Amino acid sequence: MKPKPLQIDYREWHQLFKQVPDQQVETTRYYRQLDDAPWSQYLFPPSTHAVYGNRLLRKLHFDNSPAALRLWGFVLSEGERIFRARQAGMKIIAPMGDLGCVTPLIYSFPNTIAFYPDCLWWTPFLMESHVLFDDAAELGLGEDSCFVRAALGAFFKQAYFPKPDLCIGTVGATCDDMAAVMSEVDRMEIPIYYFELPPRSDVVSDQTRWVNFLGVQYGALTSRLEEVTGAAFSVERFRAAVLKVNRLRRLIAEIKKYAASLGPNPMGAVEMMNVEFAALSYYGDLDECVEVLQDFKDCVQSRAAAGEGYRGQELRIVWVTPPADPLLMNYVEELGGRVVGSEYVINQTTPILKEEGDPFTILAEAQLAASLAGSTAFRVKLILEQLKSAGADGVIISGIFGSSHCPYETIPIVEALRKQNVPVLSFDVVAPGKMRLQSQIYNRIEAFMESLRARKRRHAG
Amino acid sequence: MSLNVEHKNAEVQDLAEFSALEQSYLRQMEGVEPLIGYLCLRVPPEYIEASGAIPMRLIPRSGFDVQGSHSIRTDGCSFCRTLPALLQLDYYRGLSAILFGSCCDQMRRVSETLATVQDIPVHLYGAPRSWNQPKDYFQQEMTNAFTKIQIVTGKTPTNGELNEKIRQRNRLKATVIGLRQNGRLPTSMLHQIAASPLPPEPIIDYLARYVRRAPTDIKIRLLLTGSIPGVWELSEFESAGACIVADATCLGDRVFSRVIEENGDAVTALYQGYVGANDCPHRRPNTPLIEYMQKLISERKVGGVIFRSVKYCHPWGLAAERMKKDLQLPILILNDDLTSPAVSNLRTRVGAFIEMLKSNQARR
Repeated sequence: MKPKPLQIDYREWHQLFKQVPDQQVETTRYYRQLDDAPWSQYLFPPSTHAVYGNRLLRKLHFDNSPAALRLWGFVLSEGERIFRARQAGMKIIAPMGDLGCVTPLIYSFPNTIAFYPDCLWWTPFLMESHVLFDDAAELGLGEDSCFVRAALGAFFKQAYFPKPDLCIGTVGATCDDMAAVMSEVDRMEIPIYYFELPPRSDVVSDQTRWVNFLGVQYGALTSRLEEVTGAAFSVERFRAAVLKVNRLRRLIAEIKKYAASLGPNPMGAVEMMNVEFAALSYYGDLDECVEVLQDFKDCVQSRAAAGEGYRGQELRIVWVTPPADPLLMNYVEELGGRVVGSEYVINQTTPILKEEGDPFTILAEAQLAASLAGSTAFRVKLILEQLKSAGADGVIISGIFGSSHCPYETIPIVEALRKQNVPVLSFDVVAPGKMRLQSQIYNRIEAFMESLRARKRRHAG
Repeated sequence: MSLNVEHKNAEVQDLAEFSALEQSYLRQMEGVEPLIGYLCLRVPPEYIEASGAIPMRLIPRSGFDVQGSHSIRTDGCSFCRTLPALLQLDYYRGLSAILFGSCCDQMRRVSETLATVQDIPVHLYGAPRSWNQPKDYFQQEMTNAFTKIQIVTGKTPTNGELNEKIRQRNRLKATVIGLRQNGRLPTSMLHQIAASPLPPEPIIDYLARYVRRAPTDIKIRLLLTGSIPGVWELSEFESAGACIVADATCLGDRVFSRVIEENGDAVTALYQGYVGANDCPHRRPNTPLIEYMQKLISERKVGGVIFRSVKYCHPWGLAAERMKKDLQLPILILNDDLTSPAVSNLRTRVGAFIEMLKSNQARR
């Protein structure tokens, strides 16, 4: 099954899925290390997940490749997978706030997996439901805080993930909203370990002290993980985890490179965002995640090499800050755009980790790349690098209303981009169900795309 | 005239007298010592004084115009949003540098905004947001920031000089807390002293002459807590018939609650008192702050709580429901916007709350 690249809806996938061989469905499984796990299949069409409550899937457009289907199945089965992990006796660690820094360490412990409650911010959008926001509001986190408040609703509901064996709350140069979530989680009798992340200076000599401090933090965290998992930290297992994480990070970098190739757009923006976010906690299964991404990379690479892709998406966009509502990315594609670069506040998941040396220093050094721990100037630099390497026509910033960073970063980023003569559109993502506001965003995207097209024509003479 | 009205009038007079004292001191010191702006309870004013400068705490003051400053979006903390405009006030015009002890994420970020819009050095030092962190890293952060301030002032204090400043401040703290416990220092004056550029001695002298007795007919004793107070809310609370007998905001009793070790390594003692033991709401967990408030409630016989946060202040605003549960007293939660005050709304809500407390009391 190798269809020509197209973006199709969930009904079309439902039909196309009939062509997927049964044997492929049977053998596409997570937690392959478990012998007796009949429940671990995850290759299902989006319509199945829509039936289970992810109603937004009925509106989204999906890539029609088997690799994308596998990716979607893997991503959407994460919640179930974590419950299965508990059932299979694994330890479940919930890091919060660091977005992908501590997970290589967690996965170096045997029979231990991680997931980010922060990522539950997508759930109200996927489910088109306010339930998690309403519960968070009951606990004091209302509309004046960022969408990550959905995580608090999920902790309260106890239905979206099992009670973690340990939460790791990274505080300091991280978002205040997530720190507010942590504070409430702390009162729910869920064990939480606070990991201190001081603000990172742009001065190199200060950074050396910073790295040393973080190294000590990682050492202390390791002791706590030893207690929770009942296993001693092993440098060998750490190296093995780092090798896998590096393979995964390299795959993501390659996929991004092919997705930004000069021919037609070989892959959808939402799928690409799912790929990038795999680097946070590997969707709860590092080994399978690497295989999913390998498959995905092969698909994007072969399309890019053959000059295959979607038609009519010629405007090249760098997307800044991940949109909690993935439908917005589909809008951009419908209007002739494609995402060729991104700064999704997870730059800390991109460095290739050193494979030799002190484990804690390795992790700390990688954090020097963190998107949000330092200055806005650092983030502007990341965005400009993406623009340059992808040869983009413009930038879209999808802000988060009520977050602690967007109010301060957005204006400097917009100004820095305009200074470089880069067209930029900035808006805030609106909560699910706010149709009128959503249609205003659509209009703004449409106008932006028209202006980019006109600009391109002018430049072409 | 009732005794409380007399008290109120005397309070206004006292504030004016104290302001005049401050103005006279600032005029006298003009060109003698530089003015260093600072934010948050994590910055020890003793350290600024010993470094040969006058500490000018940046707090909400009247007369600023936020319309002129567009560098922060409207969903930023309304105190942070006012800062660029506040710095345009005559009161803050002469600053030579600004110092931040990093607390919440928005404070960290606004320091960068100020560094962009101001043409004076702005220094931020990292401070721990969790407990039991090794002090070496963060103490070094604080020392490095003060070293940069000392480049501006041209003076590096000795340990003895620092300890002397600590002793003076400790005396001031003891005086203030003593008066507060006896109900003899009104909260308006407490706020004024908390942000005063005056050195401790003239404040102590002033307080020695300060002979106000506690109002005798206070019926409604309240704890004020939440974000940094603005300039007008306090008088609204008190004119509604209540008395703020305890104040856990960062301009209130907390400013004076930590006595610093006087005879050892002064920098370590300052770090320990202002940074290590700091119980601000953004520390995780924030239980020490709640315990402090519970202590104030029992010590000062508090009957209700006004929890006033400024809009989009996450450490306070998002903790309101939690504190409501933990403080177990009637509580009024107000969400204030320093850039666009809703005076009448606030007055109505405060009035209703105090009426409710009064009628509860009457029933009992």
